[in-house]
Amino acid sequence: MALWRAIYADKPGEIAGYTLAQMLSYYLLVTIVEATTSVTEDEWQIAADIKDGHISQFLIRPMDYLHYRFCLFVSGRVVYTVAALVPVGLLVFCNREFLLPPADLATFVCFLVSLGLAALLQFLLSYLTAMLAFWVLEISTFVFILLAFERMASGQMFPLDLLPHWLTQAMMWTPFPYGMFFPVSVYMGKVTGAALAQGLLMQLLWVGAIYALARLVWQRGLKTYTVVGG
Amino acid sequence: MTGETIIHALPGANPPAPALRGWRHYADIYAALWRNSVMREMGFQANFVFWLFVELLWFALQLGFNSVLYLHTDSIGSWTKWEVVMLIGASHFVQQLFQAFFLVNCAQLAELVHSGKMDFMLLLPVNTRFLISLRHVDLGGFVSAASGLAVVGYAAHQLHVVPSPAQVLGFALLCALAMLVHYSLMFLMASISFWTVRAQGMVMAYYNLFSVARIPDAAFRGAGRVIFTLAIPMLLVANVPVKVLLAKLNSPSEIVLMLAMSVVCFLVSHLVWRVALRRYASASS
Amino acid sequence: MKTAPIIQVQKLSRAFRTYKKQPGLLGAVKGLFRRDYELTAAVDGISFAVEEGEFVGFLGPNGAGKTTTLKMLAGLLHPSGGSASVLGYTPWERPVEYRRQFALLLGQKNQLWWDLPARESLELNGKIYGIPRRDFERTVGDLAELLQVEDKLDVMVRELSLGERMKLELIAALLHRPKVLFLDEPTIGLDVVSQKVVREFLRTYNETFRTTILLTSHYMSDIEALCRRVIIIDEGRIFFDGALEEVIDRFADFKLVTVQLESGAHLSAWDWQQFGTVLEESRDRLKLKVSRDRVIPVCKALLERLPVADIDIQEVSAEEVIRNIFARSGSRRPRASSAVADPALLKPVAA
Repeated sequence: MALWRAIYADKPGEIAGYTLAQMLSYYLLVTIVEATTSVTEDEWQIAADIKDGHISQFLIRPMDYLHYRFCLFVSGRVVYTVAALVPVGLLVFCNREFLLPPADLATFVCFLVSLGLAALLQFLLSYLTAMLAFWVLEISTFVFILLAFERMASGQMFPLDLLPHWLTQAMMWTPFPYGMFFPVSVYMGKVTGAALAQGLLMQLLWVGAIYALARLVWQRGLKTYTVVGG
Repeated sequence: MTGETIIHALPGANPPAPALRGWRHYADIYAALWRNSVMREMGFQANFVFWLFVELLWFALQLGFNSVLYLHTDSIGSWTKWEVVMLIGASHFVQQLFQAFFLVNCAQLAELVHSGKMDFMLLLPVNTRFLISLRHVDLGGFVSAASGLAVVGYAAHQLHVVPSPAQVLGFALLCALAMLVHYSLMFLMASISFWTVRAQGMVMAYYNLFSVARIPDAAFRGAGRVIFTLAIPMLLVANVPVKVLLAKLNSPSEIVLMLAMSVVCFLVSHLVWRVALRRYASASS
Repeated sequence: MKTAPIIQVQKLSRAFRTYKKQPGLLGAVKGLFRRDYELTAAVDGISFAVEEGEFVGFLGPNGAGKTTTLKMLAGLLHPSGGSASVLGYTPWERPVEYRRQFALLLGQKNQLWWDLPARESLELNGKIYGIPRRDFERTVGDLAELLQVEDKLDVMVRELSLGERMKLELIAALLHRPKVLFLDEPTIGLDVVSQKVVREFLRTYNETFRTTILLTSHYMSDIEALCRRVIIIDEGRIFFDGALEEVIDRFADFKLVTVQLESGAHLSAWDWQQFGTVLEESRDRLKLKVSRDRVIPVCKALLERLPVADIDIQEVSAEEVIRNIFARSGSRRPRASSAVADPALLKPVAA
């Protein structure tokens, strides 16, 4: 954020359609979205469960592992959000003049919907990554690679529309922006009308697609698991 | 041959003590540690390559971010695009060298305490901090550091800067100081985490905190600048060496400040380490 | 001429501050602000002295303070009171010279590098202790031969069995020829054969080099085979310090009485419990645990009632005596009781 202030200090006005206040509120919103939706340790735990054979007990119980992990994820997020309330609140408070309110109630509701979908998306993505543990011993490198892509393509580092237009368009076809950039844009009123509906639909499609993929990989993984495990 | 006869054949009790505190002795130990680290890495070649890839990817990400910024502006403070590229390269270089020598060791400190291996470290008749700080060498870090150095060179080429030998020497010395700062701060965190945080969280905190190093100092004003210069001197570690290379120093006092801060950091970390050790001896079971 | 003891411990104490966790979330939150600490004495004013070359066994239930004592003598823990001197040094000052002259082996932990062959860890230790190359080669070779692990030196440590690993840990501990050796559960979890090899090795080593050894073990057979002297610790205090045989004389309240009936005779159904605890009851054999003062009358009664072919009166084993000592103290302190339940009392009586 300090970086942006310096840039705007040299160059008052708009950068790629963002005023300084908008730019700063973008980052504040990213912080908030991150605190409420992003995955912290779930992928490590899932991988450990697979490696240590803890998933066996889910094969004999009438409870689905994905549902179980999802419950853990949700409760973990709640705890984390509460814990992050103070530092994030403080950060927002210190920069309160920059955090612009949403345009209207409908926008805010749409933001909440896409926030929920973003959380689902992030959870499913890391669940999918963790499934790699069926085939490789150490998933940390993959987690960091995914993390790197997420950082860049989700808009965590900078608003995606700072990129050349064609690149932004290309990014919007990947699942990453829907975990961060999209909900924030909704809040800021950057997407409205048909674009909003289309975006939400894309988000939903990605959630569905990754869910299906995660299911498929889980089935495949279990096969190798039971073969190896005897 | 029976047990007794073999045992009698063993060399006499307590071999004569060599000069234990001597440099030779420590160099010997460090050579053995290097050998062990290399042997271990050989066992995990695929892992080695993957990590290298991850590091390079993240490095590219930083550079990419910088390019995006400069699509929209010509300068940040007084820093032009290629100057910042050099800064990012230098900060990567320093950080990766630090990683090669120290990072794993610092990160493992909490686990050493947890698993009780710390006890064995304390038993050995050498400086415990030496042993703990330099146990493992991360070879990937050197390769990655080289990539950082390459970027520094390329940026210099783009800037049409040909530094004098004195400047290069100054850069090298200041990078060494920067490593000392990194190491001291990380070791400080590790010593504190002796009895609190888990290793994973600490490394993450480290990456977040130290990412400040790649930002031009001109971006910071007021309180932020004071904190990241005098409390957590991250704004010095890469900025000062690059400024030397670019002849961009405001005054030589910046070099003095960096020297002073690295000494202060080291002393503070040593103090906390002593306290942590004492606490270990009185609180562990 | 009598030399000064090599280890001298005087009123050594060690208290731990443990804090009581409050139950539930509310309790956890409360714990953030105010913690109720409790002082527990792990070691409570023990004194003893060990002469050079002695092999002393430390006995006691879990949590009695054995390991804590060893760790203090190794300088890893600060005592909360008292003093100790080993080889003339105060252990917890950790002078380098002291660290060169003793070794501590913790049976449940390992110092060898996990993903390297043991030889590499040994090399490193050799460098750290500054052992000359030739001595190093010879020591490693000879110790490996004695412990029968010559072919394991170049195997990745994580691929070794527990027994092999422990033998290599022993080599690592003995590399620098320590004058004092602290062994904490060196045979725990080992297979019977490895246990025997390690035990044999330690005995020979102690006899040859007169290395002073302090050993804690769960296995009475270790102590019986190795230590002439035992120190029994319970609840942080020294309960007994002396020769192993003395333990039996002083604390065995029971003897074992076994009667073998004449061939063809049958044991009549009778309530033998009146005489003592029935350990074995078959068609023609009866084994009882009888309290000392009743041994003579019980034998008389048995001879009168039964057609006895043979009668045998035995001391109970040292192991059982010690177990009983702890069982008694265990009833005062529930924490230790699970570790010292007397299996002899639980054995089902044969019909």
